Amino acid sequence: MKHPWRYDKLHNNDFEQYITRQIASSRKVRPLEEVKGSKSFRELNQFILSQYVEEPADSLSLLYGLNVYLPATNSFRFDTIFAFKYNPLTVAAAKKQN
Amino acid sequence: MTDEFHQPKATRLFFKALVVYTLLKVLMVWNVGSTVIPHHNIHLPKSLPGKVFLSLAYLADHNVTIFFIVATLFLALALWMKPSYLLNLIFFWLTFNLYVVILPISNGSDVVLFMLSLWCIPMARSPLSNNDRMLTIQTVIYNLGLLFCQLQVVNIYLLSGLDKLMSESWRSGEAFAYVRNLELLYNPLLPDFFANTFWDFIFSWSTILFELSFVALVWTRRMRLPMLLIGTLFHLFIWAVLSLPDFGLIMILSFLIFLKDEDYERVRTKIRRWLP
Repeated sequence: MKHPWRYDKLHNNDFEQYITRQIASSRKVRPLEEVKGSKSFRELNQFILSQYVEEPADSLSLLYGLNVYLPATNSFRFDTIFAFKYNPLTVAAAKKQN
Repeated sequence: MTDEFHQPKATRLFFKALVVYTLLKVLMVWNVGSTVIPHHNIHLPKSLPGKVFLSLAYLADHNVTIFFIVATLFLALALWMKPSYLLNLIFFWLTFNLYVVILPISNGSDVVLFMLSLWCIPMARSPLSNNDRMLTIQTVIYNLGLLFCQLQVVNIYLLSGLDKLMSESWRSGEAFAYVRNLELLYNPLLPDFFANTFWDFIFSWSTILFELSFVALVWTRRMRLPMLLIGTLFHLFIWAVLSLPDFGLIMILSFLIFLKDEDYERVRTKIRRWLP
């Protein structure tokens, strides 16, 4: 059920938005294989593995897009920014764990 | 500007409120910071002055838990200490480092916090000079700090109000339709009664008019307190409608800088009368 003031979700959402925007901007000028090596992508991969992936996985799908509200028709349009399928184990760590 | 320290009681209350707010902020982001920062490389400068200035952020990059412990201890101590140049300077240093540390999860409230902390540095009376000339300089920079804090708050409303006034979607009320459809932020318990173009238009123009009128009216004797009251209700409304607790709180606390010592005394007397 939806509830107001989802403070528990807000900061994780802020981080995901921040990092996916960085990846989206870097993808315009670099091929996918290079994006996978970028700091932002490595950070996102590490974050996803620690937060959402409970069992070891050799394949992940990432879909990032903008859900744009259209007031004229009171509807939404989903614009895909990037869609990646990759092996998370092939992505280097973003940061050593303390 | 040179004769006396303006509103010393109200400015002290304002500074303490910023300290309490920062303490709450640290406690609120502690858990998520500990989740996010181990996977995030904090952007840090290479130069020596940069490393010194952001040494707390370096500490957080290495071990974020120790950073949060240090910040909490300092803020708890600052609550009980008399504002001084050193204390206020360290407080600004901490708020700026905090902003750098939590940059991926930060919002406008974090920028407002460290900017107000910056203007708080000269708003101290300790150590107080015995030399007349030095005392005059101290008084001037104290009063300038107070003025810059007020101008900082007014500037936020001025830029925000003008930006909305220039925007077609705000003038037509369409901007509020976008707000209503922010899935994670908008309060789903609000009645559908308000979900139409009439209320979008009313809310849009109320926002624009409040922001622009605040800029002019908060300086006037008659309208100062009513504007602060309207502003408080305005931010509580945003707090209820959207999940932006920290921005609402910092803006409400920033209104304390517009209080006079007489207001402060009046409130204190009333509270004492209510208490048994």
